[in-house]
Amino acid sequence: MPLLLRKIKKPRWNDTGDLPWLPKGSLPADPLADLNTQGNKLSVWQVADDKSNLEQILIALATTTEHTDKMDYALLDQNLLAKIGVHISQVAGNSFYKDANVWHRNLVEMSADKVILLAKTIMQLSKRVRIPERKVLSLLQQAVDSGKVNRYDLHPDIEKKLN
Amino acid sequence: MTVEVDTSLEARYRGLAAAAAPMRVTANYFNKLLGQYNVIVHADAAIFSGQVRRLIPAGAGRTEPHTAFYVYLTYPEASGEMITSIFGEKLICRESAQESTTQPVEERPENSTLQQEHWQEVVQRVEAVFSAAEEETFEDGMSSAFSKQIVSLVQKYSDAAIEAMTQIIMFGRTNSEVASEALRWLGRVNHRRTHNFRLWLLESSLGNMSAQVRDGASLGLASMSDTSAIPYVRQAVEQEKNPELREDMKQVLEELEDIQRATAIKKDKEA
Repeated sequence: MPLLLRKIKKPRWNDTGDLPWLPKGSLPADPLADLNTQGNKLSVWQVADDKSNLEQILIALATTTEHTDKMDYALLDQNLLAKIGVHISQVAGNSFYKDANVWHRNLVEMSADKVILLAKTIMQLSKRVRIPERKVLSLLQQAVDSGKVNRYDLHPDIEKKLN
Repeated sequence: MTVEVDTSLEARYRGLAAAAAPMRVTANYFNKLLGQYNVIVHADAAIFSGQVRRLIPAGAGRTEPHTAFYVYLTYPEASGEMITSIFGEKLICRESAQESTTQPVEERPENSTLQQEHWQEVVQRVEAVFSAAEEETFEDGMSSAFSKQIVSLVQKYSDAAIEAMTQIIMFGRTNSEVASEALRWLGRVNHRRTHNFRLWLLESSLGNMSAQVRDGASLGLASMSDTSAIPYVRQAVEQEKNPELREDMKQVLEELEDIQRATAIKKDKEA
């Protein structure tokens, strides 16, 4: 079963041990900032179960940024979304890595209740990963070198960091 | 780099109290790794409760011989660790290991009243920026109004901006996400004159109560690529109790160690 990737900021999801006011099992509000919907939809990417397309998806995400940066993401088993009643729609992404756009998905018909359920699921069951900035830059460089991404599509601040 | 501290140093402090007052400092000093300067001070700070512990010269670029250094002190008191600053008029830099900067910066007015007004202006500007930031949402890889203003404040006010930000971050006068974002951008900003002060703030923030702030500090240090931070990051990794953050800090440590190795190899080749 494939996985779903959502770009996040990891510190919002890290262990809540330094929030003594938070009742055990409760979700702090900050992670919801990573689940802002537009038109009641949430953008995610579908990762193959063997993660063979993971790096391409990370490159696709990096092509839409304004400067090179580390990248945090959460990976969630797609099955878990069905269990909480979240529907998935296949909608091409709009990154500058055109080959990767096919793996873009939208989570649709997202109510506030579902967003919270999703947040709890991510908090409890996702794998959260950080890719350092230098690795992101290296991936972008490879994509540009192989002709998969046009360097002049990238933000000038990123383009000037490439060889 | 050698920094000599006159043991009968009379310095003016500025911080919680508005007026300048004499402070006697007895100091020993040592050179920090890789030419950074970092001085341990035991001071008779009767005006405050507690004993001064650290003295950090700030203002990279002002390293000409006999230049007065602007220094930072931290000292414990009842509510935690407080910070103030002094202008060490007898702190002498013997040798320069860094190039002076040519970047334009607002100079501190000489007159103490003007200094105070200048300081108040900086504090107000910085506080307004941090206050507005609490309404912003930050996303990796994207600039924000806050990030642009952080860069602008550092370029305009230099050390004074960092000092005002230090007080906000260290005293917890903003939320953790804003503090973390500020530290990340203080690591990214390209401003040689404030390098040492920013480095010190980031290293100090590795021990912050908030995991989010510690994360921002380690990411800021990764952006600075200054390998003199390695011992501080290593210690932070060892002490970090949050397992996810510990792993992220390890990445930063590995990155800095890789830079250190690459620099050593390059030096060997050149030799």
